[in-house]
Amino acid sequence: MSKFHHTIGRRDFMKALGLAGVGIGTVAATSPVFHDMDEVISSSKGTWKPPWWVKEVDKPTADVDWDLTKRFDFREASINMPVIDKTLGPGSALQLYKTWKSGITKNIQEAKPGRELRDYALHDMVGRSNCYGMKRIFVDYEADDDAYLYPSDHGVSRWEGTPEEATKMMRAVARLAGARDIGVMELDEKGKTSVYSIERDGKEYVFENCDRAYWDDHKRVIPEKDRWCITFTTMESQDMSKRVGTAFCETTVMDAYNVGGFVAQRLQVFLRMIGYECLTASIDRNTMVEACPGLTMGGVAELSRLGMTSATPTDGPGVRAFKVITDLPMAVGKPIDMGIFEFCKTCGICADVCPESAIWPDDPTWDVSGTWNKAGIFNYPLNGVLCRKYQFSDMMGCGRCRAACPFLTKDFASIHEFVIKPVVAKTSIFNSFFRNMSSVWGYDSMKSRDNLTGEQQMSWWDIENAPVHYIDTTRGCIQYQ
Amino acid sequence: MWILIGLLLGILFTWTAIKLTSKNLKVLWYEYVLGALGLLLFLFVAQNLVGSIDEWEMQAFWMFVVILGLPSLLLMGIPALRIVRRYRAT
Repeated sequence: MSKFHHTIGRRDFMKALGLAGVGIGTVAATSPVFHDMDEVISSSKGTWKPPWWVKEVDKPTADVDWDLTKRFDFREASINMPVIDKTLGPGSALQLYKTWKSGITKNIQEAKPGRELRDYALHDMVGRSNCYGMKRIFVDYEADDDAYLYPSDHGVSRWEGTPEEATKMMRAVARLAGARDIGVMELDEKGKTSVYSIERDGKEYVFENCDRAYWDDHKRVIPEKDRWCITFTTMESQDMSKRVGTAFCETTVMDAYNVGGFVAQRLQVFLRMIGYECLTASIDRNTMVEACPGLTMGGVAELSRLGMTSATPTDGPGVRAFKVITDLPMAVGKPIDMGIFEFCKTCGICADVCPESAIWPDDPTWDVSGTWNKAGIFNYPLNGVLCRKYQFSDMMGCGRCRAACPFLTKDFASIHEFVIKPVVAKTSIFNSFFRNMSSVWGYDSMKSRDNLTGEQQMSWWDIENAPVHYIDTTRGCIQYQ
Repeated sequence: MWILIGLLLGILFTWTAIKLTSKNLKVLWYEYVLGALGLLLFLFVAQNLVGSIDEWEMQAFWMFVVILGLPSLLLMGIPALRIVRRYRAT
C-alpha cells in the first residue's frame, strides 16, 4: 500500500464541523438536567463539603490578637439607639426613627418603584418574622398587633390590580413565604361546600353579609365578600419521607406543617398590609377549609388513591396543603389532569403496602368508608380511622403509602420528568408496565422499613451536603437550575 | 462536565467523518439510523445513571445499565462492526 498525505477538502471540513456541532449541541441540549458529579464524591469527615477551590486553614485569614480581644459589651453595638445618640448627638436616634417612618409613608404615597405599598408589605411580612408571635388566629385583628399597619395608616388606599395580577402576586408572595405553590378556588355555592360546617371546638362557620370576619362563643363568621380560597402546598423531604416508620419520616411531615403555619401567617400579614382580609385556620392547620378541593379545583394536584394526600406534578405526594380565605379578587385555577387518577386504578402499590389496609384497594367509587369521608366524590375513600390507628400504635406515624408511590421520586434522572410523567399524562396503556417497572427499578424499595437495601440503609445522620430542610426547592424552577 | 463529553463526542464525530470520507466508506442509511438511535439511547442512559447516583437509587442504576445500556451499545456497535467489515473486505 502506498503511503500518501491525507488532504481534506473545504467541503469535507465543513461537513465535519457540522457533525462536531451536532455532537456538542446534542449533549449541551441535555445539560440543563445534568447535575454536578461532585455529589458522587462524599466525604466522611462529617463536615460541609465546600467547593474544590476552598482550602481549610489553621488560622483565619483575618488575623486575631487573642491578647487584645475580650468579651464585648453588647450595649456598645451600633444597633442600639443610645450608641447613636452618644455618637451623633442627643435625640439623633429618635429623629432618625421618625425620618424612617415618615419616609416609608411618603414612599408608599408616592408609589416609588420598589417602595410601593405591596413592596413594603412583603418586606414587613418577612422582616418582622415574629408574625403575631405565631399565634393561631382566625382574622388578623385578633392579634391586635399595631406593628403591622393598614394602608389607611399610610394615607393610601389598598392595592388594586386585575385578578390575574393578584394571583401572580400571591404566588410570588407565597413562594417567598415558604410555600411550594398555590391554587385559587372561588367560594361560590360549590366552593362553599369545602368550608367545614362545624369546627372541632363546636363553633359553626357561618357566611354573612358583613364587612369583617368576626367570632363569638358559638360561631366564626366569614363575610360573603371573602370569596377566594388560596390553598398552598409546602414541601417535604423525599429522603426523609422514604425512611418510613422512623422519626425522620415524621419530622419532615412536622416540618412541612410548621412551614404551613408560618406561611399562613405571613400571607395574613401581607394581605393586611395591602388592605385585604385574610382568614386562617385557628385550631390547627387542618381546619376551616378542606385541603383537597382547593388543591384539585385550584389546579395544584390531582386526587389519587393515597387519600391522605393528593399528587402534584413536580413533587408527587410529597407535599402538605394548607389554606387561607381572602377578599382579594383573584383569578381562579382549573383542575389538572396528569393521569394520576387513572394511573392509580392500575397501580395500587400504596394499598398493597398499607399495614392496616386503610387504603381503598378497588376501583374508585361513590361510596364512603365511614363518616370521615365526604359524600359525593368519585374517589378512593380512605379509611382514615384505620390509618390513624396505625399511626398511633406504631408511635412514629407511618407514611408507607407515600414512600411507595411511584411518583415520590426526585428529578435528577430524566426518566421521571421526560418519559414516565409525560407518557402517563397522555395515555394509560403503559400504566401497568410503569407500575411493574417501578418495583423492578427499586423505586418502591423503601416502602417498608423491613425492606431497606443498600444506600437506603445509610443513616440519615450521614447524609452530607444536604439542601436546606433536606428539600430540593429548585425542582420545577427551570430558571434557577 | 457534560460540555466536555459533548466536546469529546464532537471530536469523535469529526474523526469518524474524516475517516469515512478518506477511506471512501459507504454507510447505509439504516446504519446511520441505528447508530443515531444507539447514541441517543446511550446518552439517555448515561444521564439516568448519573441521576440515579444522585438520587441514591442504586438498583435503578444497575437496571439502566443492563436493560437500556447494553442495548444502546449494541445499537451503536452493530453498524460500527458492519462498517469495519466492509472496510476490511475492500
